[in-house]
Amino acid sequence: MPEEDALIIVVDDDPEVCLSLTRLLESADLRVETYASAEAFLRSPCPEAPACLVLDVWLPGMNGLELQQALMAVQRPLPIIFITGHGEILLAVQAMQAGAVTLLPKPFAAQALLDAIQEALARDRITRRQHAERTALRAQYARLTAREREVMAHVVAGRPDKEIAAALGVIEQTVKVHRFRVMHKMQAVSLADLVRMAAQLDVLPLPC
Amino acid sequence: MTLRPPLGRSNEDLAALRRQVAVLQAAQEVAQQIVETVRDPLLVLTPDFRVQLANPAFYQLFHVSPAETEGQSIYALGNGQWDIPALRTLLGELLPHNTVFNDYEVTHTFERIRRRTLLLNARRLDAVQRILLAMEDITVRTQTARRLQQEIAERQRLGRAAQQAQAALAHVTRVLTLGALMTSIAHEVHQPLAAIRTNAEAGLRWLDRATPNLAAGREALLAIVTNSHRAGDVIARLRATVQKAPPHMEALALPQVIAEVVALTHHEAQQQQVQVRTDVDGDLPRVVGDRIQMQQVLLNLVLNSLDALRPVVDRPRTLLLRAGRLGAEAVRVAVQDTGIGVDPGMLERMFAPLVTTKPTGLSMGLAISRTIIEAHGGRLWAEHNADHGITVHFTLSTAGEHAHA
Repeated sequence: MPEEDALIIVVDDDPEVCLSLTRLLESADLRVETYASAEAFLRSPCPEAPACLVLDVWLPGMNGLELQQALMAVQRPLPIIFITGHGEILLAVQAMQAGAVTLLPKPFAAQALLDAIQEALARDRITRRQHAERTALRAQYARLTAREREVMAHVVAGRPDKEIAAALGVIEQTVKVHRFRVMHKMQAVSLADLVRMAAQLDVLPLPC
Repeated sequence: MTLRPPLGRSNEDLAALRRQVAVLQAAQEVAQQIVETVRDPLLVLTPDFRVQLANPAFYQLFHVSPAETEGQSIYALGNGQWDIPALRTLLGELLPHNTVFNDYEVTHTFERIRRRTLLLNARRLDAVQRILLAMEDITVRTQTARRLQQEIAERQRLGRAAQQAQAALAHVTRVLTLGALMTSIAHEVHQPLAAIRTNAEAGLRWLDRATPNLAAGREALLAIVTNSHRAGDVIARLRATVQKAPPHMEALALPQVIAEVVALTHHEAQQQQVQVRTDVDGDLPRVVGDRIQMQQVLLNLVLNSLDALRPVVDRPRTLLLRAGRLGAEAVRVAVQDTGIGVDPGMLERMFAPLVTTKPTGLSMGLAISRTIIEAHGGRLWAEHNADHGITVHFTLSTAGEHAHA
């Protein structure tokens, strides 16, 4: 994805800080949106491009850490760079444990922020790719028949065709056909590949 | 009175003579009775300063008897205890030139009655060749006056000392209060500093481009100027608050003071997710007050409210600062919170020094606040709210009709 499409979302209640960050990020050819509160940001649509949050810890109403929790709760895992007027160790620990990219005490060096943003965007690209893969995988899985899903669950549990046939009450040849269709529809290149997909899809191995 | 010659007196003459003697005797008796009735000590002296007559008040005051007094020279009385230079001056030098002398003050240590201060009034009665010497004992009055003077001086000294001590304590509390706000203040300073640094670096980046963007660079520089003013304002506000200046009464615009305190505590409130509102009358008159002390009182009340709001989880944390007219000559300020409040018994007791409802703090804030408001001629008290928390009110006098805030 071209770099120009990346979006940096700044949430800070101080308009001067928002303006200065906009100037800086635009000088690095980054697209910037600013919000004065966590609530205002939550009302905005989900970004389509790789994005990250530059988030003030202390905000009126919902604070930065609470926004981080809220985003995790709704599975909107945007990478977060915290900025704060005073570095409190406990705060930093809490933010980092919850998956923040970094926490920059104000005033910070522009390069430190730009570096953190690159790291955050890289993370978001990975997350997005994984998300895209998972979406594709789900679409493929959705095309399986009920019987094929059953066979897939047994296959990824490592059971031989003969055992699966017995469990399903069909002949072994039928199981082989189902297994072939599953591999084809899921576009799996090997049994290991299929096992990985099953893990991503949370397909639980069926008990015998 | 013309008496006939004694020769050839008739019975009638004798009778007239007797009548005249009787009249004289009666006059003398009246004079004597007057002397005896007067409450102040009184002496009738002959021209050579012998005591012809003294009244009971004299004997009583000087603890002497008629026998040892009458006929004696005044300077010889009671082992010469009246032989004092001041009296000799009065009788020997001043009186011969004046018929009347009033309020001649003499302080002297007498043998039997110790140190006395007397006011002497002398009168030359030339017709009868006598001197009337009246004395008023003002010893007690003088001592009382002196003691009173000393007491007043002492009180003034103590008052000044108390004022100085109070000012010092108020200053210490102010500094400590701000110390508690240090994190918030650091935040307030870091905001503009962060904007300055980011703007500077952004400006450099725009100017360092292959084709420098001068407009963007200029915009960044302007923002730096704006934000450096902001940082300066924070520092100025702080310095004004910790200043150790003698109280300076002025016609004070309360809305400005309220806004300053809200600004000082903005970050603290935000961190605690407290909604701070102000409700100030548009036509609020100026009040008579010291800016720093008013700021201190409000700051203290706001911080108390924030403390009372911290444990609240089941309702909105709100803090309302109100200011409005109270009659024609006063203004009432109220700091109202939805905090945890205090026990009914503490509502008044918490204004005593070293009494607190909180686990932290100096336990002096409310006591000092009340002292400050009372020194301004106002009142400071607390009330329970109908639902949650308390409201602390205080009153101040307006600075006059035409001084609008």
